[in-house]
Amino acid sequence: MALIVGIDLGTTNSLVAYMAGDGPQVISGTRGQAKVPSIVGLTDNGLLVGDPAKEYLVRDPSRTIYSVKRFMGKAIADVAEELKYFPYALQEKGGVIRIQVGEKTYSPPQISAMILKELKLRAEAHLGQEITKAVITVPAYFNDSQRQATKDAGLIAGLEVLRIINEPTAASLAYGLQKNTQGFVAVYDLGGGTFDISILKLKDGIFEVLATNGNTHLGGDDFDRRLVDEVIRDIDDRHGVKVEDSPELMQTVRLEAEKTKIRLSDEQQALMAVSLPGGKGTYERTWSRDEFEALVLDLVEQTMTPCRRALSDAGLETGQIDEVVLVGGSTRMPLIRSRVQELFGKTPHCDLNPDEVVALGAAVQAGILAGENKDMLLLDVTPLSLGIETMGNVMSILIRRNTTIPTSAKEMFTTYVDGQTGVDIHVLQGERELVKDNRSLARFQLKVPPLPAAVPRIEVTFLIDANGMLNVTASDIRTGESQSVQVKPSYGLTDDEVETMIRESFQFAAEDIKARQVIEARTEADAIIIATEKALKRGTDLITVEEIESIHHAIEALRFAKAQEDHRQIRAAIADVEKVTHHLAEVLMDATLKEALESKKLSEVTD
Amino acid sequence: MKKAISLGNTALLNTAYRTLKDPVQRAEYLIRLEAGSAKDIRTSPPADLFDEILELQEDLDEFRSLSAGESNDRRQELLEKLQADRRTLEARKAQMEDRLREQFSRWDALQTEAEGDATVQAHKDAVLTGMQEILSNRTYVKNIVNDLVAATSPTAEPGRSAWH
Repeated sequence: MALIVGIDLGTTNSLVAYMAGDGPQVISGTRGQAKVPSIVGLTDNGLLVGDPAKEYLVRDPSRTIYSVKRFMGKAIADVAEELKYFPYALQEKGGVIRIQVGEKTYSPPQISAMILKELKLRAEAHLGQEITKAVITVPAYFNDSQRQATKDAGLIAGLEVLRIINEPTAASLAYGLQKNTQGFVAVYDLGGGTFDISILKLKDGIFEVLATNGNTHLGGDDFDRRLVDEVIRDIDDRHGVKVEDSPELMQTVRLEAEKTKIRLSDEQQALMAVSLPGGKGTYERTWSRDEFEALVLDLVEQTMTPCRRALSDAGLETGQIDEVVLVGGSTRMPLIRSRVQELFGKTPHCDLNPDEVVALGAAVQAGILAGENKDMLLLDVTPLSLGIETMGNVMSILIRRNTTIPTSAKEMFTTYVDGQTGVDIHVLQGERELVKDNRSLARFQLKVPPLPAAVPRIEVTFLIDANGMLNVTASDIRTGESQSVQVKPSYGLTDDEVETMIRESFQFAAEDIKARQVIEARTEADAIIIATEKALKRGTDLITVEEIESIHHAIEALRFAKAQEDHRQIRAAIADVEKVTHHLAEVLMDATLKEALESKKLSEVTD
Repeated sequence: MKKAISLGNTALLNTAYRTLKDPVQRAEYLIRLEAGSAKDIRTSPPADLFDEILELQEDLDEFRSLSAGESNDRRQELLEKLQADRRTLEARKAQMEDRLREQFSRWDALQTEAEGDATVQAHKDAVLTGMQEILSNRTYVKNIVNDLVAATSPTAEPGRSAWH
């Protein structure tokens, strides 16, 4: 049986995992990193995904797309709030957002597909076989259009999405909580940029989402920012350097702040060092965990309110939670662990790597689907209520939220006006009374013969399959006439569009792999050329004329290689440049270090 | 991960500075460079602290089992004792960092000696082994300090620790 992979398609990072003989396992890339940053760079040289795109982001933000998950299955009107966080130019075509990059526009599923494809390639390289089937996770609060958009992304990437599962459900699976017969589970997920709390009910191995809450703009990056702001102030006070004026320095400070934060999760103190430009020395400060926690305490508190709300929505007291699961890299912070433990009164599960736990759970689900784990039954629930519009602009619910899927519901409706010849079936999703407050998923018309009001009998059937996809059928009992729609939410790509994208992606699949290596090499070549030319300017007096000459030669050779189609040739030329500039790099490093240490001896620094 | 010096890499420069300055990071880096991974270093209790640590663990367990709500003399007594223990261990940790610095002086002195000389190599190995031992003791002490901080901080509630 072909392997099925589990994919955590995250806002900040994505991962792929599979079920190995001895349990789920994440797949690392060639750099040894399991996390693929969910970033796509659409460069002049071509497409970059993951770490190379993250590096490219600093150089050309206008051609780099991140956090695309926030736009999945949405229309422009839905994301007005989000836009202040993003530099993108958005358009709308047929209710689908298109992100403009240069001359072209891309839909969010297309961008997500590029990330999925990267994960697919990674899995294929690791497992030595073609991968065509996957389980993908989504937040518990994702509605049908967002789930559909995620499925579309899978299709475009050449993956049959066997199941879309909720992230908190996946995390619980990774810890094997389904083996308990029943109980309530709280999943606290603090990622790079989002916070989610989900309360699940477990009964006979089935997870039901009782409540979700959170903050779509709170995550580890905010914790970094607190420290960065403090460091910026401190550097200005002590050295009179304005960090904000230099994007490069700003980036360096951000990196150092993140490292300090990570170190403080393990140590009580951590040293931070930032070398300042222009001979201003080195900023240096030892941070204690207490100082850092004081800076971020209110951020941690901001996660507590949604937790209490979710509990109360679920109708539970804190003491009723049986298991607490931590997800997301930020939950490594001891302060968060102790606050979560205090709130729920339970020691949280945190033995697995919190960055990987959702992907691991997706792999467990994939294993179940592949039949490796027959004793486990797994069902999901519909996250929001589904119904149709009835007289007076109110929503009449057919399937309540949290109904275990697959499920179906049937109800009879009739006409309101004498001689009415058509009935509008307007499919809605949401928890509110009025139509306008809920989300419109689809709309179609059923023709009926003209009859007095209240005589026609129209049966409406809702059917949700195991993947959470909705099918709505309306039939006139009298004539047998019927109409149906697969919800294909109004914010989705049309079947034709998806098909075109799939066809294109197959067509280019083989070229893609080769092209990718060339693109990555070219992008790196660009970066090296820029850095070398900059360094040459700074270091002219530090090296010999012969050296300068040979560096110029090497750069020319690299420029030539870059224009060719062979990534090995480009790599070799890059290596040559690195070789001839090694001495220059060393003397520049020495000069900068010397500046930074203000002519102290090494022994003085290390004392 | 040993990273080659390349142009335009200020992050590397900061890491270099920090690594040289922080004795723990420097030792971890050096061991990784000379002997492979620093991650393989086991944590082991300093031999001379063994009895104290056993007693401390018992106190810590008892402290955690007592409820924070009630005013409890025994709890207060334990709290003060644990806080004193924490100070002792932190001082001890600082001492270990000083001892790491001594090892670096010896290491630096050996750098001027002839390479490939068997006795020099033996000295180098001895210094590295010394660093590894200090690091493994320090990690042990650090973990206990972290446990103490978690258990005795004002926000912590009694219950099992989450850090194992």
